[in-house]
This record gives sequence, structure tokens and C-alpha cells, in this order.
Amino acid sequence: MTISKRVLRAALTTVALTFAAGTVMAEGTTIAVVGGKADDPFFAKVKKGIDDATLVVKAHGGTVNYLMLQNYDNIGGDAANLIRTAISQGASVIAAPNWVPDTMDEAYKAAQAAGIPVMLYNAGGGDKAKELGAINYIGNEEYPAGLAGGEYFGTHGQKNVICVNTVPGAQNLEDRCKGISDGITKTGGVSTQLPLPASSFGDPTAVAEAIKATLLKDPTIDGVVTVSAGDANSAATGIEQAGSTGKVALASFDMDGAGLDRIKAGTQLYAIDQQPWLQGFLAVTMSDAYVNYGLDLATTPVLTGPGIVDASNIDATLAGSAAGYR
Amino acid sequence: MKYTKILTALATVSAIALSAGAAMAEGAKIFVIGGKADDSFWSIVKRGADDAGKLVAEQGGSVTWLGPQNYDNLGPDAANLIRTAISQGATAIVGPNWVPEAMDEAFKAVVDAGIPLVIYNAGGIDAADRLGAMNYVGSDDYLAGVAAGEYFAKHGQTKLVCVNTLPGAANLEAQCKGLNDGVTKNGGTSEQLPLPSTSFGDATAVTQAVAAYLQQHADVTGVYTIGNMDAVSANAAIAQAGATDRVKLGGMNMDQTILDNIKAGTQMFAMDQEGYYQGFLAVTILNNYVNYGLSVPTRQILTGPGIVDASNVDATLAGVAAGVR
Repeated sequence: MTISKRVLRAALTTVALTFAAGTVMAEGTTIAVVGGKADDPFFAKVKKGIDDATLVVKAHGGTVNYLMLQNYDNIGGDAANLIRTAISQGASVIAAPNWVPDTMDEAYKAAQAAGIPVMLYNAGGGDKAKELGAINYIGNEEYPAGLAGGEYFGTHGQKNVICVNTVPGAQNLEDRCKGISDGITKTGGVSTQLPLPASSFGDPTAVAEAIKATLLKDPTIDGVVTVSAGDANSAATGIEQAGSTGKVALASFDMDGAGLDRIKAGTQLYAIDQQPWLQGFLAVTMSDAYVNYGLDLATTPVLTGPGIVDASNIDATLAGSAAGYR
Repeated sequence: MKYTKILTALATVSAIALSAGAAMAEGAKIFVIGGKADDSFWSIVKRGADDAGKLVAEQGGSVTWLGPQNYDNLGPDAANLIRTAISQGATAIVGPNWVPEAMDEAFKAVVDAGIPLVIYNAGGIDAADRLGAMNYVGSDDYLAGVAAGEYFAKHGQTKLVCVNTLPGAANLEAQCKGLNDGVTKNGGTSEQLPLPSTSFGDATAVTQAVAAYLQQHADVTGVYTIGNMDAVSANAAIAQAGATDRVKLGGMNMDQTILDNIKAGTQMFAMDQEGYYQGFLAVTILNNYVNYGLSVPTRQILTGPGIVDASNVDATLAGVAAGVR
């Protein structure tokens, strides 16, 4: 216990030193950013945005201190502790995702009580930012993302779409599927949710089988959207096994290499990306502008997603993927 | 076990930090159409574009600022600058839609050439939609007025006057209408005080008119002005009318005098359209779109109104000193 705490502290100090290197000015603002593990593919892109934003922060005489979760076993409690660490280190401003409001809200309030403004990014949403009195919220909101996906289907000819939900009941996924349904309804289409049992979660074969069976049962289905990149890979298999390739359009929330390859090859219509690089870059540059110069955007929240990836921008997206931006 | 994991994580972080300096061979060629570089407002916008340009340069690209020599023939001159950007091989263009009649054709040529476009500073989201631009980054006069009306109401001023020194100008009418809607929503009222064009730019005349109005309207508790000069005149008027305890002052735009007044407590707030963000975000959005297909789905990014009051006047003064406000 003692050892791991010490190591944790040492780790945080090292991170701080890494970023401070190269800073010329002795005095300046310290922007603390709480975030996920750097070896998490999603947070690696957020971190890339934070690192790129550091160029601007350094030019303004400040530094960025990335306070990283060591694992995801106790996200809310650990992230709240990282906020408290930032307070005790005298951060000028703290940017942190509001992953678990019940556990974390108190830490944001402690920061504000200490005179440190907070910025929400990645998780929390615009309403939460207002409730907490945060500078802004930079990130995705699930319902508008779903809505954009549903509208996309509608304007590309789909009339009957299933939203494959591998974790039914999870609020963010329910919001995604509801958005899809409301979006496609605008053009006279329909979308129904295909809720899969918990036993199939993380089981690609079971997910593919369930999608195949659904497609065979209802030949009027002309679109499938999945709530994750992994499920899209299963859905591609399910569509193929049902003999529906070319007849049923595939789409997904989030994306991975296989999904981007399918979009390039024309076997996936689109993916909805929440654009994590923008979350890191804007959260840091806007925290910097706020704390140094009192700049505060009138628009709140600033949504980084949905960013739709389809045939029209797949090449730039693949370039972004190779460069660590997407 | 835990120890090892942390070390691994650390190594990953160091690697990322080291690779951050790697530059791309070829980046975006972004052309920014803006005002004169020696214009006090536009130098702030340019500062934002330059700051965003740091990452553009890191990625092997460039940001080129094109401004007119003077403002005598703004629309056609700006349209020519847009055409210059196209002919110089821009891969992305940012421009204000100052004079739609003179500039829309040039903006359409940008979109027809397949060059991504962002409208900023002037035009609003309507111009962006009409021209096929990705986004609009800037302020909106009506919404600025609404924010001012709400601010007054939240601070106890519910009977307002909007001092309009250029009655009939659409952007100023929009501010006064917004002020009225903002305060009305919160149970207050406002009326416009239109001043004759002879008083425009005449600080003494504006002061006298506002002082007379305040003496005749003993229930008015908030004065809104549409420009920084007028705010200073209104400040004097409130003192002349002996109404410093009753009447609070707020208005559009700011300068050193106004910030000093906010610091001293004789002006409650000023509103700023935050030109820095116009340059910074427009360039940032286009750079990432050109390089990596990233886009910001929030359309119409309002950089203002940023409200400056006692709570943030020190940071704002630091911003003025640094050339970003």
C-alpha cells in the first residue's frame, strides 16, 4: 500500500517533469489534466491532443501536467483522487472527465472552493458543466451522435434499421439507439433496437449469429448499426453469413482499423467517431485561454462528436489513424 | 505486479512526449482573410491564427494572413484576397463575410474548387449554410444582447435603457432587441434611447442625452451601450445625473478605460467578441480537417459574448497586455 502510493506519486512527478522540460519561463500556469491510461487506444489519441496543445501552452509560458489513471478498476474514486492531487500541487486549472458524478462531483467542488476553475471533457455533458459551474464541456453527447447517424441512414436510402445493443440498459447505449430511431424517423424510416442478452457480450460469434438470425427473419431490414467498433466486426460477419452483403448497410458507433478498412472497401457505410484528439486539444487550449486571459467561449458545450467517417473522408481519416490522431 | 505496470505506463508516456516533436512532410496551406494587421481588433484575431499556426507548422503546413491595405473598398478588396488565396494553392480558406453582395461569388469559387471553407467574424451560420462552408466561428449581435439582458436581470437590474447612437443599423438594432428579450424573459423591461446622428462620436452630446434620460426616468437601473466610446460617455452621464448608486452600466466592446472602470467598480460589465478565438478556432478546425478529416460538429461556434466583470477583469487585463484581448 505504502509502496504503491509512493510509486504513484513518483510516477506523477515524472510526468510533470516530462512536460515541463523545454519551458523557458520560470513562472506560468499549470494545467492539470486527468485522463485515462496512455496505452488505452482511445486515450492515446486524447493524449496526443493534449501534447499538441502543449505547444500553445508553452508559448504562453505555462505547463501541462497529465494525471493518469493507472488502471480502470476504480475509475470514479481514483479520478477524484487525481483531482485532489492536482489541487494539492497548486494547479491553475483542472480539466477532467466526469466519469462517475456521484464519486467525482465533490472533488470538482473542492477545486473550485480552492479557487481553481475546472473544465469537463470526454464525459459529463453540457448540462453537467453548467451544474458544476465548469468553464465548458468538450466532448461527445450520445443522443445527438445517434441522431446524426439516424439522419445519415435516412438520407442514404435506409428505411428499416436495427440498432444492435450488446449492453441493453446502459444509459449511453440506450441514448445512442434512441437517437438513431429519432433521426431516421425524420425521413419516414424506422429503427428498432435489437437487445442482446448479457451472455453474448464480448462473444463475437454469438453477436454475429444473433444478427444473422434477425436479418433472415426480416428481409425488409436494410441497415444495421452497432454500439461499438467490436460489435461492427461481428455484424459484418453476421451480414455476410445471412447473404445480405450489398443489401444491408452497416454502420457503427466508434471505429477501429477493421471498420476503417471496410469503409475504404465499401462494405461499411459509415462510422460515428467522437474524435478524442479534439477533446484533448480543445480542453487544454481552452483551459489555457481561460486561466491566462479570461477568454471563455459563449458556445457550450463544444461537441467533438459525432464526426462521421464515410467514403468522402476515409483517406484523411486513415492518415489520421496512422499519425495517432484518430 | 502493480509496480511493473506503473513502470510500463511511465515508459509509454515518455515515448509519447519524445515523439511529439516529429513533423509531417507536408501539411495544410491555410489562408486567412482578415483585417489590417495594424487594426487593434484584427491584430488580436491574427494572434489567435498565429497560435493555432504553431501546430500547423509543426505538422509541416503554413498559415498565411491576407489583409486589405485599407478599408476604403472592403467588399471587392476582400473578394480579391479570396481569389488570391485560391490561385496561390490554398488547401483551406478562412474569411469573414463582411459584404455578401461583393464577396459571395468569391466564396462560392472556393467551395467549387473543393477547398474547405470556414466563415468567421461576420456572416453568421446563415452565411456558412448559404455558401457551403463547414462552420461559422464568431459572434452574434442579437445573442450578445440577450446575454446582456440576462446578466442585468440576474444582478437585479430589470428596468433598462439601450443607448443607440446609430439607430437603424441592423447589428445595433439586433443588440437592443436582444437586450429587451433577455431582460423580459426575466421579468424586466427595456426601451431604446435612439440618439440623433448628429450626436454620433460626440461624447459630450451622448453624455448629456443619457444624463437627461436618467433624470427623467427615475426607475431605470441599467444602461446598455453599443460601443466602447458610448460606455465612457454613459459612465460620465450616470455620475452627472447623481445616479451612481441606482444605475449600473454594461455595454458592448472594451478598451483599457473600460477595463479600468470595471476594476474600479464604475462599470458593471463589458462584452467582448473574443477575436482571439475566431482566429484560433477557425485555423484549428481547418488544419485538422485537411490533415486528418476531423471536424467539429457543433455548428456556429460563438466566440462571444464573453462577459468581463469584476470576477475576471484581472485575467482580461493580462490578456490585453499579452495582445490576445
